[in-house]
Amino acid sequence: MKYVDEYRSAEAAAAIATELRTLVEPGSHVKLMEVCGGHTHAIYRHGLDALLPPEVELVHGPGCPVCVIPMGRVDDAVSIAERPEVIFTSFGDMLRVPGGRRRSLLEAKARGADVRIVYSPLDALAIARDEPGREVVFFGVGFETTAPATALTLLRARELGVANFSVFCNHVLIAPALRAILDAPETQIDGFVGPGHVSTVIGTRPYDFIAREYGRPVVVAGFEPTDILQAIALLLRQLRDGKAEVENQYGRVVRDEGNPEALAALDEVFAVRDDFEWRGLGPIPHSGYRIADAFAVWDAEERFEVPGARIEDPKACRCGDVLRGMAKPYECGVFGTACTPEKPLGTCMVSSEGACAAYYAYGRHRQKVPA
Amino acid sequence: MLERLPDGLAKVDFGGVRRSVSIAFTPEAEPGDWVLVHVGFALAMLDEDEARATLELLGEAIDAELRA
Repeated sequence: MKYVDEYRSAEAAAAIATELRTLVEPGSHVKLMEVCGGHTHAIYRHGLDALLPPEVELVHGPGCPVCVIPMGRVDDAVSIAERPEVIFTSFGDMLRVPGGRRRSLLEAKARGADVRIVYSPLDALAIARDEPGREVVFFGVGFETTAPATALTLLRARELGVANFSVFCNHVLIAPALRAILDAPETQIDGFVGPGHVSTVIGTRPYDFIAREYGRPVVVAGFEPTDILQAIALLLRQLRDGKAEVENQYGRVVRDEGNPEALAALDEVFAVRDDFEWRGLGPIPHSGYRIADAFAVWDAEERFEVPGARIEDPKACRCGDVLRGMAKPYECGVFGTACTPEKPLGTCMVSSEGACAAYYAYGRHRQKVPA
Repeated sequence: MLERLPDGLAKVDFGGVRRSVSIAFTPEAEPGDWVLVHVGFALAMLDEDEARATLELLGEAIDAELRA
């Protein structure tokens, strides 16, 4: 029993798929957003889209940490990484994201910058301890799933008195982004498949406003095929019954109250920014973390001069529309042509959680645009 | 999870690959527990009762399908 394979039963998936057809009014149109990029990939990897009734449209949400980082912040990261004293550490999938000058961290590395991939921010801290003569900077990217790891690493840096370590903080919060999507008049989402792993940290309560204020159901879901199908069934049942509640399909790891230790670390190390710019979504109030004043000495933005420029996305790239659920990847003119995983133009193609990367990897690029 | 290590770390077996991860956010985790790990941190412990409850629902879905 590993609690993985059991949730991949084709028999169970087929049974839920049959049930889904009984839950929709024939000829109706139900738009569900899977918030998390991990869900997007699971859907296309396992071909779950083919099991859905034609009435159900899945719209892909902003829950892809790499995708939502604006180009200006990538330029800032590159400018820090190009300093000769700096060892710039990052998760691997940020390296190929192009900045405003079309220069990525990977290109900076090719030109001589010391850019290193780490698995965990703790690995970055270990590099700083091994190389006391260098400045080690960690590129903090990710939602509340990843932010606690950065927070704990900074608590550890303080405990150990590591002075040559700092964090370039780009951590973001999921709930304000969902509110921005709900407030956008052009995207009308009927219900949300709630993110699984971010909810292990924040719990299910931060989604209550979606049900209460916007009257839309939310079902937090796991990442195996039957988890996602079950969550869609629960959403369709709520919609059929005229309900709007927050349900938790992923109870095996998500508690309603989240993870108190992780939340306490976030609270201590970070402060919420007045606003933070998201790729495609623009500035969203209270949607990003900065490093709290008590930890300012470990804040790379305090330690190094960064350009801090706001850079428009390239016109040809429709990442912004994809992230807001306004366009499917294959509706973008450069999808699979000028923009591929090997030479990406937009972040949605770079990240292993990006919707464009999922469509490309699992062969959804030959689909016709629905009339 | 295989064993507790010093400094709030634990050795975890990822289906064959072993790595040390931080259990600062799951301080109650003991060897034998299943933990959900993200970027080197255990974020949650698997609740086996809840896991079985979800599986039972799946079993019911299959039964309903067979009866139909």
